[in-house]
Amino acid sequence: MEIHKYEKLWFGLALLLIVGFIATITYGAVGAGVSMVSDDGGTVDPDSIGDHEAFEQYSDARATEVDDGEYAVAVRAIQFAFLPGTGEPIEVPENSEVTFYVTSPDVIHGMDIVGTNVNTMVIPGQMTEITVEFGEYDEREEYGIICNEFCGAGHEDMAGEIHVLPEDEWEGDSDE
Amino acid sequence: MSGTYETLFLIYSPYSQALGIVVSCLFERVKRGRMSSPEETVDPTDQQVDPDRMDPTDQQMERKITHDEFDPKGTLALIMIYFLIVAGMWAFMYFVEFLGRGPTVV
Repeated sequence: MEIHKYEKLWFGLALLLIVGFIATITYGAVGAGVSMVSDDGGTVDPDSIGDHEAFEQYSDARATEVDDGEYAVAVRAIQFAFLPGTGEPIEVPENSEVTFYVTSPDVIHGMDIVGTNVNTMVIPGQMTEITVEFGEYDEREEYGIICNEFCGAGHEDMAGEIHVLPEDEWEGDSDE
Repeated sequence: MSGTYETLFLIYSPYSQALGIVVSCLFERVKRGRMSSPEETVDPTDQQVDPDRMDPTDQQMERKITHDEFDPKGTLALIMIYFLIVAGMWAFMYFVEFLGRGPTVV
């Protein structure tokens, strides 16, 4: 079969594009270290979330330090708020790795830090564990959290905030 | 308010592409109309066109070309433009919007 040289060219380009897509995703996973949200968090009884060890230890709005530069926050997503997050903003220090333990006692919710790749489902009975790397304070200090799974009549009001604090302010607060 | 401009860009880029395609189609149609118009103005009673009376340029244009001699340069250019748009949008979406914004999942 005779194939025109132009057809060969754009067939090659289409293949190149597919290879490029796969290569960038591979780079994201291996080079940039972006990982998928897994089921590592395990399960939790939706009727007694408070008894889960993550909620016993990390339920403060101010991230709890678990290791050097590593912090944890346990968030309860309910109809129609993030606790903490909605009433009082979640506080994390700059240049830190924060693990969020998120679950719901009622229906499926979403937790999305707006404009970033931090985005996960929140499922009743499942503990969602997601580790997030926060950068320098001067890049940005406040991030919005929204629910991106329709969860009921007040879904559009379900939002919260994460405040990134500079090193000195974070240290200052802990002396109080 | 850079977000607003991005949204506008995302909304209007398909429309501007569609507009470009429509305009180029119309242009092509007008061009073809001009080329075929002398034929249409021939007197309808004069059914048999004497080859000697035909426009000499029309006779010269009629020649057969082989498969490889036909080069659709316009199609190639269009595909190249689409390729660049797709590749550029992918790079922007992945490296700037997905990887480059604030906190990231690790």
